[in-house]
Amino acid sequence: MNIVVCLKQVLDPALVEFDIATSELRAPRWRLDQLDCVALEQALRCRSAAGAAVTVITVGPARTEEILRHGLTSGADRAIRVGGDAVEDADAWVTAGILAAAVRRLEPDLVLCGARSSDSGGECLGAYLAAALDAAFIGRVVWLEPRGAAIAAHSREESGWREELHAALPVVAAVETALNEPRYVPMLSRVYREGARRSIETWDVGELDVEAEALVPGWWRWTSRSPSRERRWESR
Amino acid sequence: MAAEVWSYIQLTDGRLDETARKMASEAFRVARLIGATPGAVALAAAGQDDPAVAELLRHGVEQVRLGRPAGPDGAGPDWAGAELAALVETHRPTLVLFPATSVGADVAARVAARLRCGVIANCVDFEVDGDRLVARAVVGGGKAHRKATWASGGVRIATMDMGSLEAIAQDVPGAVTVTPAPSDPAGRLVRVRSVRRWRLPPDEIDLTEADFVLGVGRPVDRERDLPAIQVLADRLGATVGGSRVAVFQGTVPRTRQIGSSGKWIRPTVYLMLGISGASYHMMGIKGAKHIIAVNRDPDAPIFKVAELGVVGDFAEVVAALLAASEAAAGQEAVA
Repeated sequence: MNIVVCLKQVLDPALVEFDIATSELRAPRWRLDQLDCVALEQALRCRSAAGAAVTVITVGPARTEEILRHGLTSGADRAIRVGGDAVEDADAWVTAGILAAAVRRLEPDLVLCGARSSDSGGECLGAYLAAALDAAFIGRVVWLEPRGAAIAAHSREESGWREELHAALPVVAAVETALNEPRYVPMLSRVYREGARRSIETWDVGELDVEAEALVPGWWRWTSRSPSRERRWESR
Repeated sequence: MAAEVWSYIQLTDGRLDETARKMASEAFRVARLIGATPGAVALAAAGQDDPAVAELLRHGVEQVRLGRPAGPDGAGPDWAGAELAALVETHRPTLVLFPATSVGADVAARVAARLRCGVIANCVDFEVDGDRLVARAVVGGGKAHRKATWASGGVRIATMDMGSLEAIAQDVPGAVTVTPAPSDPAGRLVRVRSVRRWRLPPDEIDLTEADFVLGVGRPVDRERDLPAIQVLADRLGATVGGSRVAVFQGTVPRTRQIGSSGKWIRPTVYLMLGISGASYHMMGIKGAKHIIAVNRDPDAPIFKVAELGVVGDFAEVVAALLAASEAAAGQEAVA
């Protein structure tokens, strides 16, 4: 089985603050988003259970290689960073379009990503990606098991409701925290040292076969940012 | 035809779900803001004089568009996405609002993916800037709001932060038009099959999902008090959690810790027994809708935010609640 894990680098959610001077959110460090850690862990578990190749991929500038390195040192077989001009300030739609073009080349059976990012949290990437890849989409996954040419998963709903879903491969699954507990890989372990030696591939958006429509600079634009404040009731 | 603003209304067994009234009120508010007709879209079979439709009208909705509630056996969540996308294609509303709940956000993403349009997530407000509609959305886990606008000219999709909405009944006399579901179009490709649906009992679900949470603090003793509290929780259908101190004392396991270093809960009701409300605990309960606090200290910070407060011994309150629930159960048995 061929598994691709989509990773996102975010400002450390525990340290992120609103900077009034620049009207931007900022934090002293970047990190791999928590739900993506869960997605990575699930890919590694599927590999040891059924035998698979795990590729980690991200879209972003050079600084995002840090999270790909984390993927490699955790045990992933291959890491790809998609860079280029179009990746700057890409929203979920553009990111999904670029990812879809890159992921299509890898011919995956299963694509894993976090259900939502801790910064913008739109919860759209998985569905966009599945539509672009012409794959099945399962969201809010709290349990997952590959079964031959299909995937069985439990999806989370409100107030403790669960739904069991089955879909034939290829599948895009967006995962929740409850799925697993990500592993800690010690620096002196063999897995870590091998991962540290592997190289990270860089693909350029220009070389990929990205649909022109997917690269329209954002389906929406951010016009400004402001600190949290009460909703304007006077518009009522 | 006037432009329309739709709210996605979830119905369970013909009854409005808890987000429905808020979503209907928001459709009304936003429609007035941009000069459009407030509408609702739901996947249900309902008539003109259905109580659910009347309730939507009372909250300002003038148009109800219906889609078929379920596809062929076990069509799964793909169905809702396909059905709603078809309705949006047919009627072309200006803006479609979804609740930012786990089901709402999932459906919104599926619809957007089919229609190839953008979603602005966790919106709290909208404003009109020239000929553009600008949304104000929560980002960075609530640290900031961000203003955004849709780049596409067609359908706009937004998910609404439920915490910032209010259900407001309107006294505007109006009539509601119900458009029934279209007859079956060509078969749709459904890739995901639903096998079964079930609900986890309160003591198994994660605190972050629980609708009723019972929190215990320092004075609660594992041996002496917890069994009675557990019985009470079972009767109320509540999930038991604890403060950091309760976890250190071994009253509740680490996975049941509420607060900034534990679980961030957002239940409808949070009943707190012997928790004073330290700031780290308060961060984790920001999402709770109704807070009931029981504490011996009348100056405990929790009484500043609690909707109902009891200054006294939690054990007495637990005993009284148990007696009350027993009496209620007894009455039900007699009836």
